[in-house]
Amino acid sequence: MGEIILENVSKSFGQTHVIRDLSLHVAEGEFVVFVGPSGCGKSTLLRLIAGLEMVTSGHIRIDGRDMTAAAPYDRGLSMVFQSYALYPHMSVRENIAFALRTARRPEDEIRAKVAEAARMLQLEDYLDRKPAALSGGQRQRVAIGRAVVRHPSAFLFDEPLSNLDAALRGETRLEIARLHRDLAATMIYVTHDQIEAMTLADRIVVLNAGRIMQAGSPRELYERPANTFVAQFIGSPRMNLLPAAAVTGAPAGAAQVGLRPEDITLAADGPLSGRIAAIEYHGADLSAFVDCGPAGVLTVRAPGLVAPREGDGVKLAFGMAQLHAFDAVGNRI
Amino acid sequence: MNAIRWLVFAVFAFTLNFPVIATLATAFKSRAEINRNPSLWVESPTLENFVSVMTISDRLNIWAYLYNSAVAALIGAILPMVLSLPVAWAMARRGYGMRVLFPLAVNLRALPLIVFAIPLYMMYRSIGLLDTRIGLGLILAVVNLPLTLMLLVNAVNDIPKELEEAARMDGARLGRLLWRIVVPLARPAMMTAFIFGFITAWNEFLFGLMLTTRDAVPVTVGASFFFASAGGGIQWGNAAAVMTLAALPPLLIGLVMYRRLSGSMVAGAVKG
Repeated sequence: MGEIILENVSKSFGQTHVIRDLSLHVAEGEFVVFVGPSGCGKSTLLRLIAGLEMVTSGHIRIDGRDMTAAAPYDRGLSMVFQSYALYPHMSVRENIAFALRTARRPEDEIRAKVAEAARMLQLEDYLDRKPAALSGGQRQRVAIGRAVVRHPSAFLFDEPLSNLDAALRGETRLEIARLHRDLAATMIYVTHDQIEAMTLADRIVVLNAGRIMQAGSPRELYERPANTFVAQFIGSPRMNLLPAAAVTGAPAGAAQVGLRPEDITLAADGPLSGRIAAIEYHGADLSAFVDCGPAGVLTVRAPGLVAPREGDGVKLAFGMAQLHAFDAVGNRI
Repeated sequence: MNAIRWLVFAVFAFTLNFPVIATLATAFKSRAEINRNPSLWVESPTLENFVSVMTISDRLNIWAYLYNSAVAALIGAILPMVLSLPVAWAMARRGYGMRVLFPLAVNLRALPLIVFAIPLYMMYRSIGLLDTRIGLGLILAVVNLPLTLMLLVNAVNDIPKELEEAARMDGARLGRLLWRIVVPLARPAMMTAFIFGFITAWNEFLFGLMLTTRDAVPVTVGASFFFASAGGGIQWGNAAAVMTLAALPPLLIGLVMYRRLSGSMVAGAVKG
């Protein structure tokens, strides 16, 4: 239960092409995260899978059945919205039970399932409250509870943590990971936050302008980005890209080479030299922005203990194995 | 400072409500006192005007007029809501008729009602709706439709789209979506529409005068019968008493339901 296959899916709103001929196979029980810059089509793609938007062309199969034209409910999926979208006039209990009531399930089954969801999400003390009387984190848990009770074949999350503050976001992230482990259900999760993507995903799908740039495990994307877009999108601070000519010993045929800030060290000797233009101190580490002349400004991530100063001349050292080589159009060599 | 503020307030309230106060005072004066004492102060208050008005005679029956008004006003206030809600949803969510039908319907309100009078009279006569409470209620519903539609279109627009999407994910088809999500969330607007609709319908005079003769006479028209009820000049006391009685129902409805108008229904739906 929970295999989702997209075949050549396209979506246009008038002349605007949001999703372009996109194919993807989400395996049963997999946690897939869609990431990309805003406007890349990740939310639209999720809404196409949910059935809240209809595809312009292509097919959507869920558990082997063609669901391209099916109504949202018939697809057997649950969705958690960015804005929670709780029914404000209903209590938490009624919110969670709404889908079951709509499906005309017997009352004792509804009671049991609501109780189970409330226990799982620690909502037992709030069941009779209205959403307005809950905190942001509690509302998000109710939204998740509403999705859980239906035992859907897959969960869809549309930026579910973006309205929470940083501390709560970390907590809820763990909770979603635990939920995925406990339920072993397929989950598709949209975010623009790459930390969420890296920590939660079995597989990350990086989207740009309605196309898949790369799909792979977080490690794959980080260690072997398929192109400069993914290379710069995954990882923080983002990867330095410099002309291959600026690095002696760059692979043959490479037009650009990429170096992650954490792979560069400030050293007594190295192949690149420059002057520190600015420093951002983060506590555990710091980012030094080193102006290397023709190679451009490179970001270097150094331990917070070392104390370089702005204006210092420095040498940059790195291992050749850490070099990512890209051709003229930006694809990995 | 505060004293001045209250004084200004009192003067204003008195001035604005002078006609109401004068009517009320007159209603409690005897016939002799009305002729003698034009002031607002009632020397010997009496209920004789009310007794006289409430007494059913073969020609006049205040209770029947009140009942007719109540039935017609309820039809005139509730029917437009029932009709408008699905239309408002289709207009707000699907955009149907937003370009032509909606402005047309809303602007209907600007036409003088008398324009409809003659064709309506003939239509009503041919289908037997003349002098019936339903017939009067139906035309009052038409009068109230534009405002109700406008209020409900705005109310549906104010409901976050995600709520409806969540309901659709939860399996709600259109009927359940409207009944369990849209109607409860549009309740303040529906209350407003009901109160304004009821008051408009209750106070309507023109169609009451034209379309009824005996069985379905509303209180606005019926009240005018009392002015000369005893023959020989205008009965100011009776007139004041009947006006006071006729003004009470909409006033009470407004007071009772006003509290329900306030407060947003969608608090806590979206965002933190």
